[in-house]
Amino acid sequence: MYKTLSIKTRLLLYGIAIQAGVLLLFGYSLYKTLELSSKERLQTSLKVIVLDIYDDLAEHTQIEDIELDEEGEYEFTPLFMRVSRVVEGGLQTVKATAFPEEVASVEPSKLPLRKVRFSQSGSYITAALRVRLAGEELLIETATSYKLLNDTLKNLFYSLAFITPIILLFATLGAKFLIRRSFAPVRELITRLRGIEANNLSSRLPLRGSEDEIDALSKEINGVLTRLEEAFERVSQFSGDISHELKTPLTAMRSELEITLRKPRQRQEYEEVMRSALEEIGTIEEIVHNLLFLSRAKLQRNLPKERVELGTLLSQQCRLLQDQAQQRGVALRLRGVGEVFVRGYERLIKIALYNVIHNAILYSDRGTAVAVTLGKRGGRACVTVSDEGVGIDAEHLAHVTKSFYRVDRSRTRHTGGSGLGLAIVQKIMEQHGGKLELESQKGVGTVVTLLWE
Amino acid sequence: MRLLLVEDDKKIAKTLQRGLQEEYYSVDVSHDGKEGLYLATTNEYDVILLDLMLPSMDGVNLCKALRRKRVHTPVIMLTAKGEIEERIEGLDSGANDYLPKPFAFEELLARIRVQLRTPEQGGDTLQVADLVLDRGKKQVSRGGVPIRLTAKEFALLEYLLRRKNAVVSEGMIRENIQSLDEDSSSNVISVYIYRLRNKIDKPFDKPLIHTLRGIGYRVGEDV
Repeated sequence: MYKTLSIKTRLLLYGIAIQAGVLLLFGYSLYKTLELSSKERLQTSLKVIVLDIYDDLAEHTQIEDIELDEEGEYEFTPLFMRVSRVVEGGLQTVKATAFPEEVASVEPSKLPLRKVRFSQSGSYITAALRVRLAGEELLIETATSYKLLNDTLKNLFYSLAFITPIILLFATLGAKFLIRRSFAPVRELITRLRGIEANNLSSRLPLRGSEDEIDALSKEINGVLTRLEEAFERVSQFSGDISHELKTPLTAMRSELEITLRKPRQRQEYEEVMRSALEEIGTIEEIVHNLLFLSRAKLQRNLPKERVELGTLLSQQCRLLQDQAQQRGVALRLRGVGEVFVRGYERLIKIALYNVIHNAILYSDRGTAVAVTLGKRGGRACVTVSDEGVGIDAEHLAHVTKSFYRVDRSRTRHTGGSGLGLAIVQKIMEQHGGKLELESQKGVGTVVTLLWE
Repeated sequence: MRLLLVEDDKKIAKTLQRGLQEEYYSVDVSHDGKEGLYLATTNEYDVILLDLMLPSMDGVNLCKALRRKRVHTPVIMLTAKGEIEERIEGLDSGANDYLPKPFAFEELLARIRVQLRTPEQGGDTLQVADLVLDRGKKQVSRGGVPIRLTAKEFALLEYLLRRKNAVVSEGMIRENIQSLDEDSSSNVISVYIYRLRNKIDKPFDKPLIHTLRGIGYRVGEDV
């Protein structure tokens, strides 16, 4: 339940708890301090008076002569005083001022000589001093009631008990106001964020220029939005490219079928059209297949890598493409085959090798050669495929690994390919922690290098 | 009616050419931008069908170059690029119409007919006296009697009707109703004219096709 509370409510509850604690502590210490200091003041006063009486006694030769505060000089009420003689079996009062009965006298023998001792009984506090004076043992006692003090403390207690909740109430209201105020920008942020959807990712949160936490948060959110927008744009560019790629074979197929159906034709013509439509379907299938491969490539990261021998794979792929190379009048040569091991996914490496060699053959002119070399570069396994084909301009070189990027956009369907070949190779090499490098010179040829980890 | 199709995809080009020929159009095909521009400026076409992505020169630039050379043949752009901005760019480069791929062939035909319409004619029919040619339905009739014509005869009649009351030479006719890949012997046009006359003039009272010896032909009511 606690976890579902909003930060605002939690802050408020924390605030109330802390304030209540502080107030209680404050009230308690105020009460205690007052109690202790008042008691001490009373004790001090009583002690002073006791010592005063003692001095007075010492001045008089006859103890019966002394007057106990006849002028009320101590300005201390209520004040009770008593001077008693310690005699065998008890005390004999010498002089006393309405000393309250209920105050039990201290057993004199328990009192040390010439030391003022305090005791409490009922609501009275008593200071007692046992002295020896002119061969007599005397007990001087002064007492006062601390009923007044008790009343004061009681009043204080009631005031505190009354005022603490009120203070707490105001503090809570204040806290609530403060919290609401400081959370207002957050609420605004939430409202604005709610309005941002996939189709208006270009909107940004406004910065208030206060450089505070809210601004920092807004900045971060804006950063995320920018990255999202870019990713979104890439995706929509990609799907635009896909639909464009699919439209060409679809147009060919549709026109052909429509035109054929406009009037009755020979059986042979129908067969031709159907074969041609199948060809177009093949193209569409290849595009779809490659797209699926690209989108699934992410999932394969979890599989364990295995030990793969590149030489065998390479000669396998070359054999696979030999026929196609011959048909196009391109000499496909494989050099430097030894055993080179890498860690990776055999299936993916096969695809990468196939795509790179296939590309080289597709873009080669009749009578030229494609050389495939396996070797090591700086201790890393390395496959290079070089052709003597048309080459790629520097301005296109950086883009050819992008999906559907083509140097000559119109050439595709005569050379074949889905426009995804190098993008797939790039992705596969990334998954192997490797690299795809392209070097090219217009009219001289292209060298593609696959470099493993 | 003579069309120029500039389309780099050989298969699409071949298919469209066949389909259009079956609609009694004569069609020249080019797979290259610069070649297309050369053809469009050298020969006289009634409509140019232009793909946008072409080797050596793209469709938009081709269209601009064409208009710079003051060739105002109607251009219909055919392309897989269908975004609004791209359509606007294409139309602004001088094209008369824009048809995104994949399109229905019927729609392409309808749009070609739109480009062939002249202000005084309005619809898709051409008429001289009681002779009516319907471009859309590929039908010809005279006085309500339907007449069956071959593709070439239809094309010839259409050409003549579009220039009714004007004299056209055999050369002009050959230019328009024959595409580049057809070989033409010298008397082929007079053979077509002869056949057309047999179908259009012979069964009726008033001849509409007149020969101007040594100059050419003219279609129209006698003056």
